[in-house]
Amino acid sequence: MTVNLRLVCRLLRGSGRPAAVRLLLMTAGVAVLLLATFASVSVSAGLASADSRANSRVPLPAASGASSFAVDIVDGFVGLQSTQIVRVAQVANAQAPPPPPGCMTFPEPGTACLSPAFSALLDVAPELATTLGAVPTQEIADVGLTNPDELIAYVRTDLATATSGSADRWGKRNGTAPPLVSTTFTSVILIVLVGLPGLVFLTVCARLSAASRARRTRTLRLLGADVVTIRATVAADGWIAGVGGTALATIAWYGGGPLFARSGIAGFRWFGEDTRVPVWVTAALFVVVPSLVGRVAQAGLARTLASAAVDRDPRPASAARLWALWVGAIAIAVYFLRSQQESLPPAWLFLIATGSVAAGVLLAGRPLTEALASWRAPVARGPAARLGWRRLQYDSSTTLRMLGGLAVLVLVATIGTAVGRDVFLAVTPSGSTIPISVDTRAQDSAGARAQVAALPGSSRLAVAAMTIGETLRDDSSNIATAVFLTCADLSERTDRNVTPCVDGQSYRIEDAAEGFFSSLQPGQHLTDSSGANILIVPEAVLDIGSTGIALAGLNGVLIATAEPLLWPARTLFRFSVSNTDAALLDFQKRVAAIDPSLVAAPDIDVDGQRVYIAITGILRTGLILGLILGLGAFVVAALDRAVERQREVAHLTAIGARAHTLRSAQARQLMVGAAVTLIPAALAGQLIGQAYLALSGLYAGWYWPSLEVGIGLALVGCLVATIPALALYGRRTDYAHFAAP
Amino acid sequence: MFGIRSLPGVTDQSTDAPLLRCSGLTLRYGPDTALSGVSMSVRAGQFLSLTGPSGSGKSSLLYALAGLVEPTAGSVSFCGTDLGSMSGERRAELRRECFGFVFQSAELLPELTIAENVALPMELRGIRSSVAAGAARELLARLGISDLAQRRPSQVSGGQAQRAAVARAMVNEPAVLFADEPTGALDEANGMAVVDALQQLTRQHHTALILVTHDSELAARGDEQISLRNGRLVGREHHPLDLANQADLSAFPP
Repeated sequence: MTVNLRLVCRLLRGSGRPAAVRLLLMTAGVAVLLLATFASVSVSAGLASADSRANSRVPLPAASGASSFAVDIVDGFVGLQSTQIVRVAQVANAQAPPPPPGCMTFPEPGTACLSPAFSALLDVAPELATTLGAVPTQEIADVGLTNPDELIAYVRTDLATATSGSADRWGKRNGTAPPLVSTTFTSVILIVLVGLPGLVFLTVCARLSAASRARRTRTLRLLGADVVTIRATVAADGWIAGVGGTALATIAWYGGGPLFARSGIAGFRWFGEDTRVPVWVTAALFVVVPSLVGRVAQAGLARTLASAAVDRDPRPASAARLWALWVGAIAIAVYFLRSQQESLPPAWLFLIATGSVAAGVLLAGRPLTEALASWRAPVARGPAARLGWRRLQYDSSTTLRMLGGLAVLVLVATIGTAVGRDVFLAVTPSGSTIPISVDTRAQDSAGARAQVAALPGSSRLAVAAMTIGETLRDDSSNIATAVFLTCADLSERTDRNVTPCVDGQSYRIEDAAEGFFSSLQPGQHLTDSSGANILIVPEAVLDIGSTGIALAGLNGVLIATAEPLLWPARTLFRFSVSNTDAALLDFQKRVAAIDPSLVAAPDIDVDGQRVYIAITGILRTGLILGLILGLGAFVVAALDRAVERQREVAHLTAIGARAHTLRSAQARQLMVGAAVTLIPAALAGQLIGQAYLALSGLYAGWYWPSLEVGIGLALVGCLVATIPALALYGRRTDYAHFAAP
Repeated sequence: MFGIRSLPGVTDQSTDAPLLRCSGLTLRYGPDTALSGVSMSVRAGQFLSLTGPSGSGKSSLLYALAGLVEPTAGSVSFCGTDLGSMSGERRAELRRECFGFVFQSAELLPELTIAENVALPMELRGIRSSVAAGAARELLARLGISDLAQRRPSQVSGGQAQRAAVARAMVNEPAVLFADEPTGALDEANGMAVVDALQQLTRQHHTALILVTHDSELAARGDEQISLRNGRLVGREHHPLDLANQADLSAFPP
């Protein structure tokens, strides 16, 4: 059998305006889907490229042992942004060291080579420039950076302070360094957030005007057209839309991809060149996408061909579709019951419960909608209500297909929000404040120490601590800490009246009774490495409650005083600063103003922070792209449905139906469909997200913001997609629709 | 309430004044002329047949008279009121209150039952659902298809669906019923049954019937027959009232 190409082309050419609109919608849909795919891949490519760039600038030791430079890498923070200060020093009498990646030359003594973002930061915060201990003279080119916002500086220093190691070149170390974020994780997140709505979107685009195309198929079949030709007529506009959409997307991405990478829409930025799609991939897309669209367009063709003479009604949804929901409901209930009884429910239960709930919500939409509609339709008041309910009863699949993309999006957005919270909790201190340490143990100036102690801002919450454990015991879990603060501050920190706290007294903290101090006798003198007495173990014990004083590593003595004179010389000051970038930056500027050599380091896990930014970026990108695809699927399907309904609308208009009656019927149909699919999707997402949080154990109680995100998305999606669809109804009566089909 | 039903001539069936009149009606679709200077009138209760070959402008004239398409030139008036001066919403109300339509295919809403389809025009007028349902039941019974009331259009035959369409068109007891080749898709027996139903019901309610048809036998059943060719009115015949040809509703095939 050969394809009757002439017939296929003739049908394409003569299909009229609705078919042209459909082709345009399909083409635009394919282009949007491909752009979303490009953007998703670009996020992964950006992260992989960042890993690769980071791994390619490692200072490598000389094989012969003749190093030309020494290097010392210090991770830190400016505000909430992580920094990397690479101190470099030239080895005496060695050959000239190679410049750091992206720098023109090896920094001269007293100079630094900075990333553009670091330079820009120092422009707005010049107080921090002194902390570098060098004058910026060069900027690092893109090739030496992991991303455009990276805060990295190569600072020339003297050999004595560059102690981490010596090297003779910059390059890639042997072996594979682990990526910042697991590729599997990135793929799974993007497949769930972008791939699922994308699949729905593709299905919607490829199956536009399914009813009128089925009519044409039946006619061709009755006329004796062979299956191959019929398949070609069904797939032909899919092929054209596939080629056109791929071309549009490729052109748009070529121009817009670099802008997307540098837009910061993902929460982080990467380089434009990382967004380039290889030529072979582009060529493959021009083959794969059209055939895929054409293939999806043929879904349901077999059924149409099997019933060539009959315009069959859609079959009622099978009650079997409810099974997944029942299984999911039972499994999730068991999961939460067990999570109440056990500290960690098994992972297999989590997978069964969440998988069944997600599948159940998506599958149960049709039977639930049809059952609800068959209950309400007979008692509906007014033609709009009756028409809306009856459409849902007998043709719910059309409405639910329109809502499918949004349902998936709401589900994954709700889950994603909970996952994002978990990631945030894993790497960032919770609460409104963030602990920050200022180490004055190397500071000789008593005046500087006093100035640090007097730092304003969160001074009422300030805690000064002295870490002596490292001199007494080489066990980080038993570091002894002396906390200096007033009883009033203590009450504020613990949110209760601590009695009997008297300023001027020293106490052992009851929580520490099992710790380091439990092995010491009251009155025992503690000495540091120099042999000086620095603390006498007090007799009185103070109960500060289970909340503690939110001081990491607290396990020791509380000295109820804020008098600087009582503090030991070797003091690590710890403050609580508002957990915002601006507050942290302001605090660091103040510390730098006291002495540039003082480091104000927030208690944030540097690597964790980078991972967090990457993960939230992936989630955010996925959600944004998923939202675009979900809304796109809804809008395209709604517009197509409006075009398909023109004939029915024309006849209703002829018998005097008001435009608002038609819109009201359509609105009811959409709103009921949305209520039955999107709200359960948000609730299911909340349950799954909550189950995930329970599994990770980082968040106690119900995390409601994810539900708010889900419900908010559902409402926004409905409104944005419904308004343009409704506007089409009853606008104009086309005379051509009164002719027999 | 718009009050179209209170226009003179709509309910006052004693008057001989034209119910619907068009004058110099011209209709063009781009370069094609569908109607050219057609003038005619329809009285209350009259059965007017529009005949002519395909493309002669019959359907265009029908839809122009119904106010569904705007004429390029000329005017259409209903009870002396120019349809061109009415807003779209008022014309919709006119169709709702005073006009009924039967199309070549039944054009019943596939989602509604037969009874709900028939009751729909009454509900669109704001009449209570229970009253509309009662009227629909009564009409379906008169047309011999009351047993189909709870079926959906896809579950009945073409002839049955078309009779339901006649019931839908008549449920509001319109002043004018427009029928665009209502038997075109039916066999002879079903076609006759549909026209009998149309004729019987329109006579009972003194409804003017404008029937577009190719069938000369059907056309001859009208009180007046107008012939069109190339968009122009080329013939007009008056037929005496043939009481013997009056339909017997009880004889409708199931």
